[in-house]
Amino acid sequence: MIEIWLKGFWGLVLGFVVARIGFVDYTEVHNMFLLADFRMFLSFAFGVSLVVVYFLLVSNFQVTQTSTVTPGTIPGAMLFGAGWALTGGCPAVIMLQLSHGYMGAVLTLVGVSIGMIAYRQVHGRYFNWNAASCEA
Amino acid sequence: MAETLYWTWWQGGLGLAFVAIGYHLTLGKTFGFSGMWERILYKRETENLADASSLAEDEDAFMAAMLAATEAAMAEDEVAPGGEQLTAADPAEPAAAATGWWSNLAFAIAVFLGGLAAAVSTDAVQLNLLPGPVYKGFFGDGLAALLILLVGGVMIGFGTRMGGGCTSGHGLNGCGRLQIACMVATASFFGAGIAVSWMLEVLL
Repeated sequence: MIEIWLKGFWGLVLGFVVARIGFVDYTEVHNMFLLADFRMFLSFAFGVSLVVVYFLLVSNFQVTQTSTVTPGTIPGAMLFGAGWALTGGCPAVIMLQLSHGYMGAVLTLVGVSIGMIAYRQVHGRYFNWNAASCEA
Repeated sequence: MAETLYWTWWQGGLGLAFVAIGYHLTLGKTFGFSGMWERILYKRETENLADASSLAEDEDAFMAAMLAATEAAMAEDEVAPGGEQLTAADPAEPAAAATGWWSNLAFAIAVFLGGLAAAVSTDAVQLNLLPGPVYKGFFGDGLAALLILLVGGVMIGFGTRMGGGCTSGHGLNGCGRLQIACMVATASFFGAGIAVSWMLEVLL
C-alpha cells in the first residue's frame, strides 16, 4: 500500500517538474531538437549529472553494468526519438500534454499502446535476443 | 521569452534529480515510464510476475506453483486450438501482486495530475486538439495532423520496447547509473530527434 502512495507522490512531482521545464510544449521540444535553445538539454544534463553523483556515492563508486546493449537498442531508441520529434511527446510527456488540454495526445497514447503490443508480437517471432530493460 | 515561462536549466536539473534520487531513496529502485505503461497494459502478467517474485523466496511454494502452472499449461494444450481455453481458477491474489499493478497506474495518473497542477498554476489549461502552432505549421490541422500523432505514438511504443526504455528510464536513471546501454540509447533517441526535427524544418 505504501508503494502506491510513494509512486503516486513521485509521479506527481515528476509531472510537475517535467511540465515546468517545458517538455510539454511542442515549440520548446522542437527548438531543443533544432539545437536552437539549449535550456532543456542543459536541464536534462544537469539533472543526470546530479543523479550520477548520487549513484556513485550510494554504490561506493562501483559501477556494475546491469543493462545490456541488444541489437534493438539503437534502432529502437532511434524510432522512439523520431516519434518524439514528430509528436512532441515522450511516454511521460503524453500524460502532461493531456493535462495541458491537448486532446490529440489521446491518439498518441493509443498509438504507444498499439506499438508496445505490436512489439511483443514481433519480438517473440523474429528477434532472437533477450529483451532488455533500463530498469533496476 | 522561454526564460520567463519555464524554469531555468538549473531549476529544472534540480527538479529532475530530486525525483530520480527521491524515488530511489524511498523505493529502492529506479523508474522508467514506458516500462510502467507496458505493465499497465499487461495487467495479468504483472500480477503473475509479482506472485513469482514473492514465491521465489519460498522454495517449496515455488516448486508447487511451478508444478501447478505446468499442469495448467498441459491442460490448456489439450483444449482444441481456437477453442475456449480452460484456465485454472485464479488463487486469491496476494496483496503484493495487486499493489504492483495499481502502483504503476497511480504513478501514471499522478504524472497527469502533477502536469495539471503545473498547468493550473501557470494558467496554461486550454482545450486544444493539436499541440501548438508549430505542430500545425508542419502538419496542418486536418486528418493528417491526427494521423501523425497516432503513427508517432506507435513509433514511440514500438521503439521504447525495442530499445528497452525511454527518456526517464534510459535517459535520467540509466545515464545516472552510468549504464553503457542507456547512454547508447539516450544518444540514439536524441540523435534521431535532432535529425527528424531538422528534416521537418527543412522539408515542411
